[in-house]
Amino acid sequence: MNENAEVLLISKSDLLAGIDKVLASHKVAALTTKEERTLYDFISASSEIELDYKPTVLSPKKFFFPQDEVIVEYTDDGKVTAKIDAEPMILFGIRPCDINGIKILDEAFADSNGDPNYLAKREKAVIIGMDCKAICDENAFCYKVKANYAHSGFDVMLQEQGDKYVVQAVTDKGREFMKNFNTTAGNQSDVEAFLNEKAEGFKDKTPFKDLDKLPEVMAANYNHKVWDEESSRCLSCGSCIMVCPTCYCFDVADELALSLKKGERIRRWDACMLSSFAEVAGNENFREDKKDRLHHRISRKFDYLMKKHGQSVCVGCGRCVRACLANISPKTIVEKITCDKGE
Amino acid sequence: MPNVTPNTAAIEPQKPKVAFFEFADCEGCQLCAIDLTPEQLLDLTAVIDIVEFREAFSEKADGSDSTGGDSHSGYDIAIIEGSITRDSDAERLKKIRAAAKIVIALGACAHIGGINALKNCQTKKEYTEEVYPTDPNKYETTTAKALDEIIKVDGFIPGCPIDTGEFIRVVKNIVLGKNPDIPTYPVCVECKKKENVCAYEKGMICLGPITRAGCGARCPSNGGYCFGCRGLIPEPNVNAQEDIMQKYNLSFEGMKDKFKLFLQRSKEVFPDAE
Amino acid sequence: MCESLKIVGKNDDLYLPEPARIIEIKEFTPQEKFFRVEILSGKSLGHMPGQFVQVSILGIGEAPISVSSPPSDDNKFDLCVRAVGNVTNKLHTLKENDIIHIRGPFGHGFDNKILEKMEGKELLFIAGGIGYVPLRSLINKVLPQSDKYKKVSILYGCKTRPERMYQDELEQIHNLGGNVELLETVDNGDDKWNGNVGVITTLIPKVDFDINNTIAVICGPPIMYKFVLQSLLGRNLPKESIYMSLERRMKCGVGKCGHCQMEGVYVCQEGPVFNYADVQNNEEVL
Ligand SMILES: Cc1cc2nc3c(=O)[nH]c(=O)nc-3n(C[C@H](O)[C@H](O)[C@H](O)COP(=O)(O)OP(=O)(O)OC[C@H]3O[C@@H](n4cnc5c(N)ncnc54)[C@H](O)[C@@H]3O)c2cc1C
Ligand code: SF4
Ligand code: SF4
Ligand code: SF4
Ligand code: SF4
Ligand code: FES
Repeated sequence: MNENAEVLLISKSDLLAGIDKVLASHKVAALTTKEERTLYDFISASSEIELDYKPTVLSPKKFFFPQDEVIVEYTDDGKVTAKIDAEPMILFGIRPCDINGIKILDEAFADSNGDPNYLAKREKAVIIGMDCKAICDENAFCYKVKANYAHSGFDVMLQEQGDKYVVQAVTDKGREFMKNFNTTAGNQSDVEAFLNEKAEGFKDKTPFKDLDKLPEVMAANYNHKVWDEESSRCLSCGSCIMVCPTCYCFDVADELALSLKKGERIRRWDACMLSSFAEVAGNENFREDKKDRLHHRISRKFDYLMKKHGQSVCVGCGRCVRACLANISPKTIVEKITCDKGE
Repeated sequence: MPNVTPNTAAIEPQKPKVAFFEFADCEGCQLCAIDLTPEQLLDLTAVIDIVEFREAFSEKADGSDSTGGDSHSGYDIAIIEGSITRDSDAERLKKIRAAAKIVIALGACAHIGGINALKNCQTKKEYTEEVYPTDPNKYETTTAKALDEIIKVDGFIPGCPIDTGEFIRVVKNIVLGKNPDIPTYPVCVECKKKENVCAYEKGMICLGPITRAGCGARCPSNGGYCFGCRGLIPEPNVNAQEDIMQKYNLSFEGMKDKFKLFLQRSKEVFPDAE
Repeated sequence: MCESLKIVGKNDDLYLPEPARIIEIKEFTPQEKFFRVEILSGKSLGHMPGQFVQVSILGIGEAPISVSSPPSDDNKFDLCVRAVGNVTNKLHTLKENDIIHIRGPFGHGFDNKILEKMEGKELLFIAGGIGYVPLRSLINKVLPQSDKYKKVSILYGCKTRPERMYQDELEQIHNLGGNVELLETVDNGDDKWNGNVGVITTLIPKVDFDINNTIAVICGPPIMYKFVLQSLLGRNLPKESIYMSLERRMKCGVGKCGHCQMEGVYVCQEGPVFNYADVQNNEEVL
């Protein structure tokens, strides 16, 4: 994080009061509980916010890359338009793993073929991070891939210190946003105090052995027995992909209105773990075996895309581990391959 | 005037004539099929001609009135509800097949045997005596079967009951000359997209991982679990269900019981079913 | 550090198809039709041989189809489509003057560097079935200037005789003579066929080529690559001298949807044309 960023302090009550103020003019999404589900969703009052983290099924990626999204619209008079919806929004309380996930999606979508639908939403969002002091549950393994620290990809970072928060606004958007809040000046030692507490919380939680060399290690273990062992239980259900903050494959389908006079082209989350993902005409399936599909999914995280992004593309959020009924975990797979006994 | 897609290029010059038929069923799916908003109904009748539909009106495709039997002419598409539980039904079904260009199985009973096939888990003596204790031989009945066990079926609209939106989509796609586009992936995909708490986390047994999606994970989204009414996905890993049961400390026998409700005719689950 | 998101090349029209008119249709076989298409805006497609376009029929969907004509300055180009599913079946029902939509051109085709490398060499085209379509954009660029090459050999194999596409053009190529040769085969012969019968690899021993001065270009069904490569490598043709055009499932054409990946390689971006030496260690190629 920027050493020179201005450090502010804010009390919990002032933080929540500020959010209520912001809510008058902005859409705010935050961690909240609806019925039995804890999830990131739009809120109407700060009292709906869960300040303590509970793992969610889906990551905040859904705000920039929704489950189903119309990308083109057309009518029968021949008019075809690109549909790019974006509204300003504040994402509040995004944890380091998910910030790292968003950062990876930013890089993936903002390449030479910049994806208009993702980027339009992303550009208009303000991301308020909330740092973690300890691991959220036994399934998360952010520390294994050093994603428990977020160094960029947010506008403001909040760090809990007793009944107040240390605030660092690191972008213009973030500084502008903080003007809505009643803050007092803090200094670098407040940040350090938090970081010390965090280091204590993650004590003994060590990264994967040779984390930086994982791409080579994975490539060298293309035929490791772990692929057979783990995939034999796989249901090819796709849950692991749906919940992953850094999976972004999609399918595209046309839907015509029943009148057949107008229609939409929709993109939908797709999953390389589903059996038909790489199928082409003539009954050819380039990844017919669930073993190859699991290999592809995990290699995207620790090999193919890791090379491209310069960091593990699995951010260790643990969502896929919680979602997988068959108990298949990227952590276990990497540990088996690297003969790492885990912590 | 050249064709500007999507309009005229997409529509066949003639509206296909559609007839509905039913066998052993509750007629619930046909009711779903016509449970449309007035606009939807108008749009639907703009692209297809419904020529026979006992549930909705009395005319028949071949011009006779509804008191007679099925029509065997005058339609392109036969949409058939219900499973086949009598030998005479099988004959009736074959005649409809011969008359229609396209046959669509409507609902779980027609698609996979549906609830009717539950009786196959008992012997004929057991179930006839249970249902008609005083006169077990009163009605002709045998093993309940899905349509495609007897005739070639060109498409299906799964579910118990069917999803009206999906019904419209399939009809539309047929009119457009498109594949029906019924998902091949399991209910879990839709369930996760809705951020539901998994039924297994709540101690329930759910068939979502091996059941064909398309219902929008209707049951888990309403606090329940999936009982497989839409049939199996193409390559279900049925054995892996055993591992899940272990993980959640549930009994595999309990799961097998769940299979019986809708998957009795599925060879992957009951390879030895008659 | 902590800069706001850098937006590189955000393209609002990335997924927006543009209208094009079908100006000519020929039926090659019951499954394969030829379409000549013109872009309504009047602009040229501006493609390289080997590239593809995403063809849309609104309401039905989109499918990647190779551009089958050589680069040109006008707004017209050729497609040849096998009817296998939603989009391709529907295309077959369209008539001249009907409007379709396209995006592209996409992918990495035979770029200038490859074209330069080919000059003065012996070219060996090996096409199986519909694999002739993507290669035709290069073949028809090369043939009018065949004197630039030492020799041009085209090997073309189909399952049966009626499945041969561009039959008139094939006839013309047969008659070209000079340094151009066309060898054909069918898997299953019939009484009207007096040429070679057998799979495409049976043609390879019939051509002479100088392994130090030859560039081979392959396109065909997935199963074909393995056997053709075996045969070429068996004759010691260097891997660097072999190009292949590959097919994968594609949805976006622009490196996003993930469908076309072979390991970490996005076929829609880095391909569909690959030098074999570059992908020889990629386990998902063959
Ligand atoms: C770079 C490239 C160039 C191609 N060039 C040509 C060409 O010149 N002529 C030609 O006829 N075909 C070509 N194809 C193949 C063509 O794209 C597919 O046949 C077409 O996408 C099928 O679409 P559909 O809507 O008609 O079929 P669908 O109804 O979508 O599906 C029918 C079958 O095709 C498979 N399929 C679906 N989408 C794709 C896809 N995007 N790519 C491959 N298979 C798919 C399905 O799994 C199914 O088995 C090319 C493919 C690629 C990747
Ligand atoms: S692979 Fe699993 S643990 Fe890693 S980022 Fe994706 S969901 Fe989280
Ligand atoms: S969630 Fe588990 S069972 Fe389902 S596809 Fe992923 S790895 Fe396989
Ligand atoms: S509730 Fe059922 S359908 Fe939903 S994720 Fe769990 S197993 Fe899958
Ligand atoms: S969740 Fe399962 S049982 Fe319920 S409607 Fe869907 S497929 Fe049928
Ligand atoms: S076709 Fe979508 S990534 Fe290549």
